[in-house]
Amino acid sequence: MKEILQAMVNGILLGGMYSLIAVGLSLIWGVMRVINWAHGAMVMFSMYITFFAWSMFKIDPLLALPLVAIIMFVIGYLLQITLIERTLDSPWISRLCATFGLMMVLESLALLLWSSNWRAISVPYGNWTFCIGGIYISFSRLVAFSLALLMALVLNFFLNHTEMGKAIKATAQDREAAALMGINVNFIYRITFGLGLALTGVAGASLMTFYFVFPKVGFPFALTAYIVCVLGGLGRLNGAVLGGLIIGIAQSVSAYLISPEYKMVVSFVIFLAVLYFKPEGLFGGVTE
Amino acid sequence: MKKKAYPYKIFYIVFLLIILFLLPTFLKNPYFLDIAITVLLYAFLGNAWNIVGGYCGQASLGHAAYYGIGAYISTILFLKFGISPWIGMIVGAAFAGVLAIISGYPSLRMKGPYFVFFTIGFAETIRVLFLTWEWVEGSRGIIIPFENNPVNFIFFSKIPYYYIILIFLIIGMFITYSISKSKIGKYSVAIREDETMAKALGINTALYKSYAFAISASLMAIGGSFYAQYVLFIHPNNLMSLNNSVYFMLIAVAGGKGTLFGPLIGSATLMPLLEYFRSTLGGRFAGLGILFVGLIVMIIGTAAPEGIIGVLNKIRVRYSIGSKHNSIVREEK
Repeated sequence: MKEILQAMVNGILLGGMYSLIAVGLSLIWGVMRVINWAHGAMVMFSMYITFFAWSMFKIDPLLALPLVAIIMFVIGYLLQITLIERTLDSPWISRLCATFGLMMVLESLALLLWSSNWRAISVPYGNWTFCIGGIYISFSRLVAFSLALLMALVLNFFLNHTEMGKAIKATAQDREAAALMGINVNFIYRITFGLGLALTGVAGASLMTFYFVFPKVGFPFALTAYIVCVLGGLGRLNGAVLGGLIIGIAQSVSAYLISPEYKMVVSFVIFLAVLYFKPEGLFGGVTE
Repeated sequence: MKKKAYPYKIFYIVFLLIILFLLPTFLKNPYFLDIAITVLLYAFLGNAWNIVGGYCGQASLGHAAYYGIGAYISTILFLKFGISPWIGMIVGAAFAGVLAIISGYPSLRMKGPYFVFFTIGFAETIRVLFLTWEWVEGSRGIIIPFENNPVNFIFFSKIPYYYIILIFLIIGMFITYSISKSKIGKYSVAIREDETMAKALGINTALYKSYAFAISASLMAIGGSFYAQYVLFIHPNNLMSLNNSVYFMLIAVAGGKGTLFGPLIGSATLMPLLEYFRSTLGGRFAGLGILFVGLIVMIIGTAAPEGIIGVLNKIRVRYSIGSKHNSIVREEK
């Protein structure tokens, strides 16, 4: 029983990461109707930035985090101008090609530049754990989880209580009407894509405290994040947070009860069940 | 107009066929013959993807699952039950077709990204199941012992493989052609262009999507059996990885999705390039080939959604070669 409880706690902590990645994905989908297939590659990229900040300048991952988020925001802003903006009005298979190609380019670029070696950072707090009632909680995972929740709250506040956030929400609801109200839709899109990638920056930097990085590290995370998005309803940010926790628990418990190899299968079965019984997601989604 | 254009097309096709049939007499080097076989195999697979992705507009990224299942069924039947891979190939195709209908059923209600998620998840699940399934050797993969015998679908020389896959490709393209001219094909295009409208016109969209899916999956399985007998080694990660699914899509989309010759053109351009990168730069610059492919995908997504055929058509229209025929093409657009 204690083991299952332990697995659940681990699942929730890992689920926070899934939430963070999925929130960015969901935000981009909700506002622009674009699935960013390169999202996993972006997580990988920000993990590498964090890694090199540590290995070259000895900057702690948690200190590098804001920097990584800003870098990712700028990258997202520029990508939106150069790549995504051109595909917004094309059929969705072109949009798929654009971001999928980006994923392939980034992954092979990472392989080319940094080889397929696994790299990890050994931070001083890497081995710290608490023991509460017989359940062990890793400090770095707890920090990452809290950061994920904090980011979700900040984003929620930003979207609901600032002018820019309201403009983003308006654009998500109706692009034409927003444009008629004097909102610069393209600018909003750039900000949104930048924000989505900034979230992957936060996720990457905090993952780096307890995880390792290699060129294909992002894809399993992204695949899980897509499932999380569908679970929570595409475009629903709060749904993505909850969905991340649910999938995190499901994966972790099933890895303990069945076998770690099957955690993707379990996520997929959940995904199928949601699509079958409630295709708009548990909390209602934004459809095309 | 169409009748006039017809003889030219026939001429091109006959010319192409003659070249393809005579190619092994010029390519004495087995390495180049291997590249030619790869080109034809991927053209065959891209063509199978095209039925669902190009004509029906359902961009599947899970076709590698059917590819792998075809390879596994023919191999298992051959090694464990002594059934010739020729028969195993047909069994595999039938099984893949049925599986496509079953797995396609829940996915029929999905659109756009949901459908893509579903197909990726499906293929990944099948891959993990095969990786952990001890009876089919799991993650060790299966080596097919070499016994030079046409009944076993194993040949010493590469030339028979070349002609087999060439004939498969011709049959596959003929199937695509006849589908595109038949009711299923017309309905598929209607579904691609506007599904709600197609439904409103009384087309049973679910039924025709499953038809397209089943035919496509069966062809995939045949390609998988061919791969198994050609390489004589199968492994879930080689066959069912997402990379493969992406290549199937890419070949059709790069050549020109929803066109008969698109996959062949796409395969003939991309596969030799990839092989070139792999053979010349593979050691020092691993990943450069994929980088290049990724760039092509991005360019297709942003600048040339109609693929190479679309670009060629644009050039033809601009310089109005055979102006009368092409002015019709331009108007249709």
